[in-house]
This record gives sequence, structure tokens and C-alpha cells, in this order.
Amino acid sequence: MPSLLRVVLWKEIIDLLRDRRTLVATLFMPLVGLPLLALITGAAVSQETIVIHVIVEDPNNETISFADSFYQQYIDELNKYSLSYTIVMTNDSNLSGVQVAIIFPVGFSQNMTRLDGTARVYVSVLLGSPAAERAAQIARMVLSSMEYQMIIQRVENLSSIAGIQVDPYSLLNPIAIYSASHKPGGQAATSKEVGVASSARLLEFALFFVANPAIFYMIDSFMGEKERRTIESLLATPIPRRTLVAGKLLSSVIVGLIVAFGDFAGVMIYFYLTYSAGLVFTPGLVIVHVVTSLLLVILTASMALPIAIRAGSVRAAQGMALVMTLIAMSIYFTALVVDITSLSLTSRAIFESIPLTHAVLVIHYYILGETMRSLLHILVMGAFAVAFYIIGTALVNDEKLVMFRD
Amino acid sequence: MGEIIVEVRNLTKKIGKKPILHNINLTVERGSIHAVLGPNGAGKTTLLRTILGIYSYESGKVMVLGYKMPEQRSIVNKLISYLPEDAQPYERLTGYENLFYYALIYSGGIRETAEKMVELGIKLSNLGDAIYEKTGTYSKGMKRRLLLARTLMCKPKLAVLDEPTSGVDVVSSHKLRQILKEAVKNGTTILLSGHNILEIENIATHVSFINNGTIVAEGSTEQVKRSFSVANLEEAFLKAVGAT
Ligand SMILES: Nc1ncnc2c1ncn2[C@@H]1O[C@H](COP(=O)(O)OP(=O)(O)OP(=O)(O)O)[C@@H](O)[C@H]1O
Ligand SMILES: [Mg+2]
Repeated sequence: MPSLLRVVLWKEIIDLLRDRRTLVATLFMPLVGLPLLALITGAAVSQETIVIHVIVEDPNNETISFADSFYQQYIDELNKYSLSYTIVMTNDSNLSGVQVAIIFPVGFSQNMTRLDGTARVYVSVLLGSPAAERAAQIARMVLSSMEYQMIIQRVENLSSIAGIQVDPYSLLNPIAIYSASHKPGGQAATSKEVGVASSARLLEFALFFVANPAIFYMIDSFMGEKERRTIESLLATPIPRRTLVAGKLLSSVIVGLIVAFGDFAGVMIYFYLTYSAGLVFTPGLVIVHVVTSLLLVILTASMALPIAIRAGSVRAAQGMALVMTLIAMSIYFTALVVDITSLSLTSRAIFESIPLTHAVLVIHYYILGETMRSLLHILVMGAFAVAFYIIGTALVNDEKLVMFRD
Repeated sequence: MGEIIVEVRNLTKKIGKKPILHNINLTVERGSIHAVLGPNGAGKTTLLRTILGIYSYESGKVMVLGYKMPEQRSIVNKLISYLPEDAQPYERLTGYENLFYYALIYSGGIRETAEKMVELGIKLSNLGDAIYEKTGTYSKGMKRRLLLARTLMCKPKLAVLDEPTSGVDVVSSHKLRQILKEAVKNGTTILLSGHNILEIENIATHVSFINNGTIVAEGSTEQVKRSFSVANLEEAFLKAVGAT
């Protein structure tokens, strides 16, 4: 490394690392905030007590025994989902103070026992209560499994009336649907590969958080020095502009990566707490993710370079960077949802002209086993970064770095 | 007349559409302490920045150490140093680290050379143990002394100092004048600006009076006093800007 670049790096990095407050602030949200959010949500949900009434309006014994059986199964299911609730079986139809009511109206058993009768059950949910909605969902699930038993019962009754032998399950399921996955070459994907693919998608989401801190440090680099009145004398020293730009870019990337590492850990803990099941990380996936993160940080920092150099003030730079981040974010998330590789050539060209898209493609092709194409997109990211660095260097203008302008 | 260190000919500079410097001519001789004197808003800072190649200009010619500015800045910047009027040190770095950073830049990253420069810088700044504290804790005058030391420690051929004594107490500014004279003995030519004429009369060998973006008088202090037939610079200045 050229010695002057080392000198600039040395100064920039101690300057940034000594700013503990900023470091802690940028680390806080993802590393502490996200896991905390998951824990708080989890804790809050499990603490919410749902008041459930099973209301039996039909005095008939058969209804009572059906409701009783529902009641037992419902409690089993509610416990499985570890919801916190109170449940009573009653004939009082008053719903005040009740969040979920399962109502068996008069005439229930009469319709239920007829061969072609439809017995009605009402599941009523308190407006605007997500927890109640979950409990109601479980009630519907229990009811439909009970319904299925009754259908089978009816089929068996019918078949004995008709005097024919049928398997009620096959009769009721003339088509069975099986799900599978395959790779571009046509080979079947193993369940591990499916797990890796869905984990990779989560990692792609995490990538976005990784890019932010470097942008944050980058936009402060030139405009911050302008406002702190430290840059003017530097402009009359023998330091080449490209060295200054490279030094500030690299230091933002290095400190950005330190913070990004924390952010990444935070996002992973968040995913672990919210979707613990089904995440499969292979060494290959982790390596690809680390390389992509590194490049993405360099790329986004260099994309922020023109703003950092020409915005005129820190505030203007922050405003512009925010717009850039929002645009980038929307494109990035679109790229995550849309399979770019199957778009028409024009749409694909539009997406690919946006540097961040390539981060998604690197991981996309890696999962499909197309390592060469994955590598190609890594190179494209690198090329974009170099291009922005060259543009940034060309944009350095001493007059604009010193003079106040409206 | 000795060797010419700075030569400005018919310089015109606008900021936006507003003309700031009009047809400026200025000559700084080797070994001189040349003061550009003028009231607030006269154009001193603009002139110094233009000489240093930080500002571009519309017409005229600027030569520093025989090189054309701003085209040949990369050569010139190795030979000069600059103290801007409202410069600040890096406040999260200690005084020592602030000096070391610039010393490494001027020495091209060579540690031994840089350490020698810093040694001189510590001596010039005269900050005692405070040199090892973060400069965020310094008073205004302490920062100024540190930055002045940083500007002179590399023994430049030309030091450009925009209001070097602003914020510095009487004792320190007396000391500072000694330092400047010392620097000249070591081969540095000094171009500085200011508006405290009494203070500058003691050290400047040459002056240029600037008013409203125009040089209204130039020469050695003696010449200028003589040409206005007055006993001190202040009277000369008041006459030159038409205030009497
Ligand atoms: N960024 C700018 N935009 C518009 N006008 C400016 C700008 N900078 C300076 N000027 C104008 O240029 C003129 C000269 O300013 P300059 O800073 O060179 O004065 P100065 O002699 O250094 O004053 P001081 O003694 O207060 O430092 C002033 O009239 C000022 O209003
Ligand atoms: Mg000024």
C-alpha cells in the first residue's frame, strides 16, 4: 500500500473509532434493537391473555357432547401454540369482555345429524385484536378437523346404505398434491438444498443492513471535514486527491464493516428468534455471503462518494444519501422478490444497470450451483465500485470543498 | 530586488457573479514577511486562497516559486504550507497526533523525517504536556498555536498564514513574532494577512494594503510609510483606504 494512503487511513480510522457515541449509536439499532424487538414482541404476545367463550345455545345433548369434545381438543391445540388464555363453556350469549366466541346456535345438532344438513357454528373475534385472531384461527382449524371426521362418518353411512365398499379417504381425496423442488439442470433438489435456498433469501435481506453504516461514515468524510474546518489546510499539502479519496473510502469501509459485522449478528439473532426453524447455513453460503457483504459495503460507500464530495454540507449530504438509500432499498427489495433472471431482456437490463442488483444475483446463482455466473456478478460489483471511485476522484474540487455556497 | 516567491499579475476573481478581486498585483520577495492588510471583507482570504490554487480565477496570472497556479499545484504543495483563518485541528486526535499526521504527509510517509518535524512542532507550539491531550479540550489560542506550529514545522519555502495571531494572547503573539522571524532565518518566506496593524508593524518587512478587492499600496514598510509621508503604518493605511 502506498505510504501516504497508509497515513490517511491511520488518521481516519483512529478519528472514526474514537467517536464512540456514533459507533455505539450505529451499532445499537441492529445489534441490540432487532433482537430486543423480537424478544419484546415474543414476550408481549405470550403475556396477552385471551378470553375465550364456548357458547352452547342449543340445549340438545348431542350438541353439548360435540361442544365438549371441541372444547377438549381446542385446549390441547391452544396449549401447543403456547398461547395464554382463559376459556369457559357457557350458555350465556353475552359477548362483552370476550375476545373469541365459538357459538353453537339452536338447531345445531338437528342439522348435524341429518345426512345432508349443514350445522352452523359462529366464530366471533373482537375487532382489532391480532391475538384473538390467532386463537380464532386455531378454533377454525379444530372445527374443520372435526368436520372431516363427520364427512367420513357420512360417507360410511352412505356406502352402507348403498351397499358398496369404499375407502372414504380415497373417495374424498381424488387428487393428492405433492411438492418438490428442482435445480436449473433438472435434477431434484435435496431438502438440505431447499433449506439453504430459503436461508440464503434471509441473508439477502440481511445484506441491506450491512451497507448502511459505511454510507453513513462516507457522507461525513468530506462534508464533515469541511464543516469542522479541518480540510482547507489539508488541500495545500502534497497529499494527492486520489489518495485522500481512497483513504476516506477505505476507512469508511473498514469502520463500516466493523459496524456491519455487529449489524449482521443482530439480524441473525433476530431471524433466529423469529424463524428459528428451517435455517440451514453451509460454509459455502457463509463465504459467499461474507464476500458479497464486503463488496456491497465497498460498492455502496463508493456510490455515496459523489454525494460526500459535492453535497456542500453535511445536512445536504445526509438528505441526498437518504434519498439514495431509499431508492436503492426499493430496488433492492424488488430484486429480492422478483426473479430477475426470468425477466425480459429490457427489464433485466434496467435492473442490472443498478449496482446493488448484482449482490442479489451473486447469491441467487450460487444457490443454483452456477458458480461462474456468481463470480461474474462479483466482478460486476467490483467494476461498479472502481467506476464510482474514479468518478469521485474526478469530482474533488477544492473551491467547492472550501467555499460556502447556496 | 531578490528572488520572487509569489507573483500575482492583473488577477480578477469572482464568486458567483460578484467580483471580489479586481486587477490585483502582488510581489512577495524571498526572505520577506509580507503582510496583506485590509479591513473585514476586503478580500484577503480570497486572495490567499487564489494564490494557493484552492480558488480558480477568471483572469490574470499567479506564480508561486516559479510555478504556475493552479496548474502546477502538486509541485508547489510540496514546498509550501498554509494556515487558514478559521482552521481547526482534528479534535479527537491529540496535539501530537495532529502534528504527526501532517508531518507524515509532508515527509511522504517517512517516519524518521516526520518525527524530526514533530519535535520542532512541539517546541514551536510550546503547549507543554497538553500536546498529548485531545485537541477538543484546547482553548482557542492553544489550538491556534498548535496549528501555527504545524504550519511551520515542515520548514516550507513559503508559509501562507491567514490571520496567524487571531485568538492568541499578547505574550503568545509576541512569542509568535519571534517564531516567524526565526522561521525566516531558516529560509521560509512568509505571506500573512491581518487587520491589527500595530501588531504587524513590528514584524512585517513588506505590506500590501487591500481595500474592496483592490491593492491600494504595496512595498516595504519603509517605502509605504514614506510614500504617504507618515510616521507609522496605521496612518498610512487610513490614508490609503481614504478614511482620513
Ligand atoms: N462564499 C462566498 N459567497 C459570496 N461572497 C463571498 C463568499 N466568500 C467571500 N465573499 C465575499 O468576498 C469578499 C471578501 O471576502 P474575504 O473573506 O476574502 O475577506 P477578508 O478580507 O478575508 O475579511 P476578514 O478580515 O473578515 O477575514 C467579501 O465581501 C465577502 O462577502
Ligand atoms: Mg479573511
